[in-house]
Amino acid sequence: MSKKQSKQSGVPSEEFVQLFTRAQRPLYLFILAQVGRVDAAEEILQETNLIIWAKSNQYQPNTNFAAWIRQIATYEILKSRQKYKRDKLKFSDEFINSIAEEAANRSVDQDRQQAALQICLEKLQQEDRELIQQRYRPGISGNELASELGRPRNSVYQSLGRIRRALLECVTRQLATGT
Amino acid sequence: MISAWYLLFCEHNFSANTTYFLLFTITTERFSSENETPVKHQTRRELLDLVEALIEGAASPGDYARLEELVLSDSDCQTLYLQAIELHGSLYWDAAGIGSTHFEDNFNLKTLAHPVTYVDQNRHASSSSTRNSRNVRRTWVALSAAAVLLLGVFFFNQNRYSSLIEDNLAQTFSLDSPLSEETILEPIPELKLPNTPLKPVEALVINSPAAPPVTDANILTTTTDAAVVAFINQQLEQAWTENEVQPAPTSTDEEWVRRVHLDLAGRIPTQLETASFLKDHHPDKRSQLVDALIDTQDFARHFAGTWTNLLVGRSRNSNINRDRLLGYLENQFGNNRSWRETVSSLITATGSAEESGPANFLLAHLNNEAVPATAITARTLLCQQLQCAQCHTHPSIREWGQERFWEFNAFFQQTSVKEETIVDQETGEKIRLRTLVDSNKLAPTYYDTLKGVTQIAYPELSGQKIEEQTDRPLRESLADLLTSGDRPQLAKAFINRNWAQFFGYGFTPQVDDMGPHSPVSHPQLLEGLAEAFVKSGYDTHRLIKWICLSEAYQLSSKGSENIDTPEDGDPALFSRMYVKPLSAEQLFDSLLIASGVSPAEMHRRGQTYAQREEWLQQFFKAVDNEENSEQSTFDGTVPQALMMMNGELVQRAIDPNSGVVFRNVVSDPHTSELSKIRALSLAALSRYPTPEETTAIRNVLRGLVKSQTEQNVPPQLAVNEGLRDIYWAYLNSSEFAINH
Repeated sequence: MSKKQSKQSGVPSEEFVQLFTRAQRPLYLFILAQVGRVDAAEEILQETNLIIWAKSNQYQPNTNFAAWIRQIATYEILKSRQKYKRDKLKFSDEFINSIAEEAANRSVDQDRQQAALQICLEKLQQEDRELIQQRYRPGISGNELASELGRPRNSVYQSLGRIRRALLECVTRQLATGT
Repeated sequence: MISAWYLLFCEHNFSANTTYFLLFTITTERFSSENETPVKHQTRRELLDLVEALIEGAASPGDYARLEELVLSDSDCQTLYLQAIELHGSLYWDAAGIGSTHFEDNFNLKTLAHPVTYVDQNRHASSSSTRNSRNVRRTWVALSAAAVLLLGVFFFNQNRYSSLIEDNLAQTFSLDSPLSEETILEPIPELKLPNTPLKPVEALVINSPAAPPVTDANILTTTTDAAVVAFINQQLEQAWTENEVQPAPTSTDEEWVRRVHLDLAGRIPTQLETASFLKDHHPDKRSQLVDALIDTQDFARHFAGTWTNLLVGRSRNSNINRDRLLGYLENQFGNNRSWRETVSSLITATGSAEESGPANFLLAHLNNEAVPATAITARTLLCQQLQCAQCHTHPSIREWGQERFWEFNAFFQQTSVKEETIVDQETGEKIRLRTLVDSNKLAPTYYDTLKGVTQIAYPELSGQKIEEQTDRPLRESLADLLTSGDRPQLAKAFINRNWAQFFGYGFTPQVDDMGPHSPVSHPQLLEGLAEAFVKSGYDTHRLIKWICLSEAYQLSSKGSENIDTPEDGDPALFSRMYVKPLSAEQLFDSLLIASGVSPAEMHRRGQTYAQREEWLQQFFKAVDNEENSEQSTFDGTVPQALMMMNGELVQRAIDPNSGVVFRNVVSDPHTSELSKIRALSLAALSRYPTPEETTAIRNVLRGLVKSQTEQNVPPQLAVNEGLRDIYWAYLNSSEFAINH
């Protein structure tokens, strides 16, 4: 299938689909850093994906795909912010702009990052690992987890905080020292 | 760090390489902090906590603002924020089972066939929204994955594929507003410990692993020392269980004897004190030592010093007679006068700086409309940071409005400092006299609100007003109000301060910031202790004894595998002893002990006292601001402390002419080299060297002696020189500069 054909038919090219798939995770992290909440980030990601998919024929092959989709995401974040402008729990424009810029400039090898996280998860103590797995089970919040475990919410938050700090340090170290 | 060590050695003309190695051997790594991030530890911790609140949906608008402030202030903070949020996002993304590592496992063609079945059109509740949006994402990833596959497999059937995609798109597009309604976020509740009744014990046995039987006895009926200690133990244990923390093992006698001397006497134990404690096999020896130490003048001096620093600072202030205050407090602590009495006299004292010790507290702080007096009384005696409320409503506590500060301030408005100059009849010398006097007018405070309106505040504390004009000075009413009730803040504040002094951490994140915004880590324990302390009649000796006899105070500073880490900002669980840097005073006094100065000599206000004052002055400088605060350059870091000390004090300790301890050890002809090394270790660190240390030290010593004798130095002299290096290394080790 040639690129020309795919453009004509409105179906994204194989290359495009690969880029698209691969970019999902960093794109999600890019959005999350600006909105801070996983659910909000997912909604924006979804909206962004729709636009990316719809505009796939506007993408110029061999140009910076990541930058292109980040632009779309930035627009979607803006739209979402306008929609929820009365929400008190949100960041300022200055913060968002600064974070977007910084995030765009970050060169993180996502495979390495993922591998590091995997190693660090394995290094955790059994109980800690289980707690983290439970926390990140689909559709659960720390609050729900606490009531499920029958532990005080604060105590669960503290444990999660401690484990995440340990993971953060471990991942940072892994990325700094690993090859 | 290395350069600091290097400097030390440059100043000290010993064989640098070998001693350097030796120092490293002694300066064991267990006390070093290894966190070398570009972001300051405290900032890092605050930022990560805010991210935690953010991702657990517990962040307030204030948290958002603070997080922004931190992130925008510094690019390292920005990176840290991104790292933390990306970690969270990655965990979230991967845990859904559709991260690229698990991609094939989770790929399901059904998803492609019916992607929209996952999407609920009426999404409102936040949790279902999360669940659904995750499924939507799952759909998208699966969709694109499917697209990859389909392009390969079903290439020939392009029309069918594209129509399928378009159908899906059409349906997905028709969704309602993608976000849930505004989520109402609940604040994190304070950690509440179940109220378990106190366990009484008949006789107090420290370190007893067996838990005493639980009965319905209440702390109100028994406030014997044993009962209160058992109550502390039970409360702490409960928190350990709750947080799944294993307490550290019990400290060794070596660790503990040094700790309890530093905490109660403000100095390390002498060789003799350590040795006799180690030899003692009485089961109650720890409890006996606590009693004995509380009875010493060292104790009175150490606590008086600590509180004088808190009340008027360390820097010299020509407006007051600091020594009079110190002497007064030494008497109060030495004679076990109740804390209530001490506070009352600090608040109500009259007379001149020379006549009255306690008067010096207010003499120091009545400047600037008594704003410092208000702020410092609140901060040191009540552990409340009222000074923020002076100009604006407290950022997080609405009830701490501006008026609260000024109502408290109004209590001091009757009092003023009378300044006069008198001529000494005998010497003819002019003396400046500053005296505290009260007028009997009920004088309100006038202050400007944020809107610039002048307001009047009448004396009021915790809702108690003084409105009627009497002859009684307002300060006396204030003292009564401060000490009234079963569990006044005054008692809690004193307990929190003392607890923090012994453990390094109090029950609140900042020891002097207790208030509705500041969660108490062990609320039941604090309440119970306050009740017992008030019932005891504000008995300072007993409070200190309870703390020193608690199980937690017996624990080692090692172990517990880093779970209980208040260093990172977690509430302290006291499941191990935390390492505390020595105060400037403790360092000075400990070095004197290591040189062989007797504790009795240190009590005299003679030459040694003057030297100590002079030595301390180099670190502290008064700042003339509204809180009469002072700047300290003594930050307790090891390199700095050592740089400061690597002069006269250490030289004095290692010089056989002035350092009695060192002289006695090296000049004893009947002891072996090994015994000498052990004696020096005991004198400096209150412990015997470990076998590894002994081996390393002996090797170094042999090397030193060999190189010296090769230069025709007589062997005995060479050995003494070598031992001198070793004692020097002990005194400069990081272990010496901390209380662990």
